[in-house]
Amino acid sequence: MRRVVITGLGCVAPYGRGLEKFENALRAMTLGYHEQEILNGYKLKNKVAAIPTLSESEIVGFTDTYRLVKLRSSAILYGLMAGVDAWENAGLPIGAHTESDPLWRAGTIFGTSCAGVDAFCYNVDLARQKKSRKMGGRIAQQAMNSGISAYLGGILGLGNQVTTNSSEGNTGLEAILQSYYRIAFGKADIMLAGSTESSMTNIFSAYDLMKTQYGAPATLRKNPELYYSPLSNENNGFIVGAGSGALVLESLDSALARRATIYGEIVGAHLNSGGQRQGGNVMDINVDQLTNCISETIQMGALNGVNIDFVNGCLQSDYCDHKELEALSNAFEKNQTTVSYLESTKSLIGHCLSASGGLEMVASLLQLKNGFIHGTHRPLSIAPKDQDLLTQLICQMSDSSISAIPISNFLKVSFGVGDVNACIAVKKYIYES
Amino acid sequence: MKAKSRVVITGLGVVCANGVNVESFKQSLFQGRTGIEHLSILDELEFRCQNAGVPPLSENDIQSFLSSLNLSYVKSSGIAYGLMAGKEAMRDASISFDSNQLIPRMGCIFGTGSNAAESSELQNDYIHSDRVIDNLDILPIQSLASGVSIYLNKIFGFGGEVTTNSSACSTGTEGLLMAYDYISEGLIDKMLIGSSESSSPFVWSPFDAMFATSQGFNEHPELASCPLSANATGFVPSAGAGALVVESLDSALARGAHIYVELLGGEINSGGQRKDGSMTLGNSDGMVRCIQHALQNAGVISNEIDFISGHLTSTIGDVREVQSLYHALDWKHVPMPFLNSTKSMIGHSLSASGSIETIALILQMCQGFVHPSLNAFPLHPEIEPLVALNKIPTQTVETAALQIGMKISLGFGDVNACLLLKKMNLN
Repeated sequence: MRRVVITGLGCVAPYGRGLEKFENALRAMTLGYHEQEILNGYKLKNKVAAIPTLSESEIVGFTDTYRLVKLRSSAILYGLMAGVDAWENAGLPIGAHTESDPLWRAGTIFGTSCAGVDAFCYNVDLARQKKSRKMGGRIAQQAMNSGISAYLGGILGLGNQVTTNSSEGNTGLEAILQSYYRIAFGKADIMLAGSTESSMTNIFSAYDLMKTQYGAPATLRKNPELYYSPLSNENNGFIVGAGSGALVLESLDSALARRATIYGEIVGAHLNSGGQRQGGNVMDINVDQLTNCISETIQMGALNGVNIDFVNGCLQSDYCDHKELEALSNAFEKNQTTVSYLESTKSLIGHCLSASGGLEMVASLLQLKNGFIHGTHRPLSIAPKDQDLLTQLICQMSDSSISAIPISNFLKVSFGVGDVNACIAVKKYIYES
Repeated sequence: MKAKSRVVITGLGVVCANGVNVESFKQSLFQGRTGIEHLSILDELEFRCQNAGVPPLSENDIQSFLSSLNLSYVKSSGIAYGLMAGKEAMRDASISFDSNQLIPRMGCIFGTGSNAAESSELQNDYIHSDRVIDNLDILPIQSLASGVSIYLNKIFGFGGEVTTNSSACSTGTEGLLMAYDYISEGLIDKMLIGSSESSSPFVWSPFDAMFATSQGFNEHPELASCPLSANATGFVPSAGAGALVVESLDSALARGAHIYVELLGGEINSGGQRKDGSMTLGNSDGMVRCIQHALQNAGVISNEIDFISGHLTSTIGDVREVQSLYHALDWKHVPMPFLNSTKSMIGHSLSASGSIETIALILQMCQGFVHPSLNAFPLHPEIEPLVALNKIPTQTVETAALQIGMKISLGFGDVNACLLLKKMNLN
């Protein structure tokens, strides 16, 4: 299997578009979620959400530049911004439209769960009124779940695999790992890997209704500044967000040949499922399988007996947090691996659903590259059973950012509805002289 | 370097317009029976195309199936079809499952484009009206594209990667090639691969709005889907699901599984919407390259191909597809194999098409027949010079030697997938 590195990053986070905004907010621990006026009138019990801030002129400027006619899908907009930014960040050119060949060795796996909902609902309203003809010719490509990858493929002229994956909260990291395999197997040299999620209010309404199998609301019902807190005893539920995070993955050879900036190398990767058994469920985790996922990743990355500088957890501030920590602890013990810091990016940006993996990987790579740890917002104290595990691991979940610290590797964990897991290990790339 | 595993197909399951299981599908294919009908709901909604291919299952049939799985709250017809097809395939492959154990080293990639249709509509009604809707707390899961893979996982308990892929009309074929890569590289032993699409008219309305659907055949549904023909005016939409169990040869032999065919590999690529490509009609260079690379990857040369299941939707795209086949396979010099379009009988099931039609290809290869490509004649004037007329069957070819078959799928977004299958001759 070929070696794969990361050469570009792009994002639309709740703070807005761009890496600088994102990094500044992470360092300052700015909360990306707040009560949203736009959610009034949607029968929501909780109107706090993390919706990307984009100005009208930013949006129009972008849609004009890329000739995006009648774009209705917020997820496609976010994904295109993040994707194009990552591509340019990687120093890759965007080919002229009609003249050139596509880039046969460059593709994309860009995931989403609900990107089509904006266009779909618009279509239903018209069709029910027998006015389908009014919707014009660009709705099908936005309503289909693969809209984002199709649009990216067309703008960037991608000629390799162009597809969309979906596994709810697991989507982003899964897209990155599927892209990793595509390159590692020799089938592509460059893959734009990421994920996006729509900010259409219907999605917030849907999550507002969801319940855990314990009958409690899945999402937070209290003031997040005081109660949104990973690994606490209260398990209050999460906050929902939207946006997009994107990475450019590339074979090491291709990156070196064009002297690209290398953010890090992917050394460990694993995808599995808990099968919704042995403690797992549609909305719950099979701890043994999550442990295996992490353990396989550690072993593949030869991180047995090594220290991991930080783990970017899934940590969504609900009952899954404790199980996640159990799995991490089991996996580290099994492989005699230690870890310095555990962090929750969701504590700052909320749970951006399908976009979460993409955004949290961008956050992790910024920390790896620029040598810092963002603090975890945790207004409540860590539950005693979790504090015990952290103590055993000699690991900290710092409630303040550490602005200058050498980072040489990290592990990221994710899981999603349906009891599906992903884990990745990334090391700083050391240039061989 | 470790040798790659060979990959085979050991289970099939299908629900589509002319067959609600593999046996009835095979019969319909053999008899050349169309599943396309005029739907009064499409008339009421004043669609341009009022014909569609919907699996012949009553509301009761679907409800009792879902009840048997304790999934009565599933409102998405696409998820229901996917579960039916998935269950049939797993049983066909003799893979056992129970509610406590995981199936180790088995994953699932089950695709869709619009399974969320029904639940999104209900969710929207809940927000904007007083309509009373049941099970609102579980409904959102069906609005996730991965709903179908989530519920398949609930039933079977896979231990490997479980996810949903979406690449428009190439979804099903793409899933099989992703499975091929994972299995041949030794990452996993078995995968349940498939795709499904809902039968809500609101899945079809956006296509109807853009003139992509069949025009002028509302009085004659049986003639509406006419891939390759001069009469083609657009596709007839349809719904359903196809599911296949894909497995390493070693795993299949070790457990004495029945093997349908070997999956030799293929290629997934895109035309990048460059040159003559666009969002809705593919770049011909991309198609040609996909086919040529598929053959190279599968270790097959053009004159070894006995049979092609085309994408062939009954649109203007058919011309470009045949031109690409002509060039990629060098039909100027190499005799053309059989070519047919299953869409002529069942319409275009969008994301489900690659799965359902690959199953049709496998059934024909194993039984040694070629189903008619309905309504293909008179051929489109740009297609006629490129093909051998006797290779596009108007009636079932009841006995045919079909060693190697090819499936091609072309999707919106200018995405292509092409795979090669070979009959297993095991003693």
